[in-house]
Amino acid sequence: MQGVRAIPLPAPAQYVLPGLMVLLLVLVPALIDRFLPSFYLALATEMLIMGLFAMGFDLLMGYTGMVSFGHAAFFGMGAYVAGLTMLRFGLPFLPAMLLGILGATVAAAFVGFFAIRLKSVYFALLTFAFSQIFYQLAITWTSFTGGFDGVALSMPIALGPLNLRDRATLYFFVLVVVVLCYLFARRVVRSPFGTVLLTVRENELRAATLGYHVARYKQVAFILSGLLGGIAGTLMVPYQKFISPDLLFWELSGLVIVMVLLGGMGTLWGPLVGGAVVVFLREWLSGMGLIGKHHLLPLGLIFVVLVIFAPNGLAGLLARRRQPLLDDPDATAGELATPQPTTQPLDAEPRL
Amino acid sequence: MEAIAVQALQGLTVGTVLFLVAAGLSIIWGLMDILNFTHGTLYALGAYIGMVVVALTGSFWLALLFAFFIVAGVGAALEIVTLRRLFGRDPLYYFLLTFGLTYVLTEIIRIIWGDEFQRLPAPPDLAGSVNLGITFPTYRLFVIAASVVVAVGVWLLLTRTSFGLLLRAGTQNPEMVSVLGTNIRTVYTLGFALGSALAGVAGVLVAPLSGLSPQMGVDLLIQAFIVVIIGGLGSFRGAAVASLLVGEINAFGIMLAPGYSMLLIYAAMILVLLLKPAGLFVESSGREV
Repeated sequence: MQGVRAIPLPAPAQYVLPGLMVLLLVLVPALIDRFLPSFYLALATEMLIMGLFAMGFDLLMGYTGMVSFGHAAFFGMGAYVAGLTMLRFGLPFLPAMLLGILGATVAAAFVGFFAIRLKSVYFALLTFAFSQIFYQLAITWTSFTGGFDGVALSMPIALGPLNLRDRATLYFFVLVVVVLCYLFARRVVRSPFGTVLLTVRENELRAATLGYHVARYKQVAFILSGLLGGIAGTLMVPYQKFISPDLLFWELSGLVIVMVLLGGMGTLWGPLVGGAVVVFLREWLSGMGLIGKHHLLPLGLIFVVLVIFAPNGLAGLLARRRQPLLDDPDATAGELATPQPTTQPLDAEPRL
Repeated sequence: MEAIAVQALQGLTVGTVLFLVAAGLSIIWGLMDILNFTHGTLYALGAYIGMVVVALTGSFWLALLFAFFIVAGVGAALEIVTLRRLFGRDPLYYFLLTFGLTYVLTEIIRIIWGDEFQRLPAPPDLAGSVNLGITFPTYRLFVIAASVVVAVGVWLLLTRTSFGLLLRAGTQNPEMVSVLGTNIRTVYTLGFALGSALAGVAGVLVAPLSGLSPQMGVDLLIQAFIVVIIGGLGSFRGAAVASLLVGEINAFGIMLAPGYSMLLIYAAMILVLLLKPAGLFVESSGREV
């Protein structure tokens, strides 16, 4: 077990790379406008939204070591509450969005309260069961939720003077939300609170022995993660203009794990990229004739290879190749996420 | 009254098949700590293999036999090529890996057999229905009987043969099995193959009732998860009781409150996980098969 290497870059340098990234993202609509069909702007928006969802999940899976198999519950809760309050009660988008985020947070607090008592596979199964209850409610309570088919949202969606039905406006709105959430999450993981989370992940007993109230830290991590997932979910309302039970389904819970693994857990930016890459791959592969019809095959294979050979994902590969990045606390966190290598004895006592 | 009896038998049919699937899951979990997400797809694969064998030979018995051995082979291959590489990591990684494998296998099934809903007729001898005071389809009775026979067979295999002894020993103390000179890896592979084969047989048995589609295993898998949670991961007896329970809840739930019966089952799963996460039929200290 390595210690936490917190050697920060000099303050200005720390902001150069993320700053360049944001600049690039700001230029995306102009670039697409010039070189690609406008459909790609919608794709870019979805990539950002799913990146945000995965980044929020990273707080739980990567930083606290709790792999939930029901995180779509909070994503879907955000989308459903925001969408349905607009549809059924005629709220404007902003209050509906805030209610959606609140709904997701409350749901996360409720599920987390029970789930943090369990570990590993049992934790995963419990979160799964809760998320399926939300899913069942959504498909059963047809008169309110639209049931299996979901409901279309045909009302105007605007934020003050900003018309979010306009693709470019929506893109910039989503970009602002994602950047703010990234800064918030980064603040969280670099705070003393975040350091305790890492300790819980690496050695829960030690964290408890040091006097930290482990359960409380887990609960807060769970809530924050659900909160960010909820924000991503509410963004689906102006993006899809449609809500359906898919947003709550366990397949999405599985997919977000794929995104975090692919990007590299415990790095925040890794899952952000991972979410974007998965959305892009899905779109790209599904456009390719025969492969397109079976695009889940390559996606599944990529996932299998990742789990076996590169559990640290893209961030892990990058950190290994480019030594200097290791001095970035983010990259170091990724390194810490390394599960125990397979050099362990074959019949090691199963850990639960 | 008659409706209730029919519904109870219906539940029994679902329950016994569910048991075959859940018992396979349970053996694999007990032995290797693998919560096998691919299990539902192996079940679908079994059904499709059964369909092909019936089309080629016309024999339902051969279909059951071939499904058993071919799915066992596929399971063994999966174990050797992928799962074996993860030994020693947190059990969660198995779960993630099998989640990815599910996508791959499902797509392979779709490529070979397509998306269309397909049918496998029940064998002619078993078509029609019998009168037991109530009229009930003969094939459903056959499914119940066949499941019981397979279950008893597996039980005897586990308790009366040296292979079963090895499986149980591997479940309780893999290190000791290695020390005593048995290659535990082979035991793991065979155990995984056996569990998979049970899913394959269950697939063939259900196919005449439900029809075949590449996604046919998904709902059943979720229910089998619930069964092993309620019965206790790794417990054969627990799986038996829990699968009958879930089968009946389902049958009567559909009759009384459709849509809400699944809610009830999920709620039961949550309660058991919280109050007795090891399951209702497992002592907290040890495991059993």
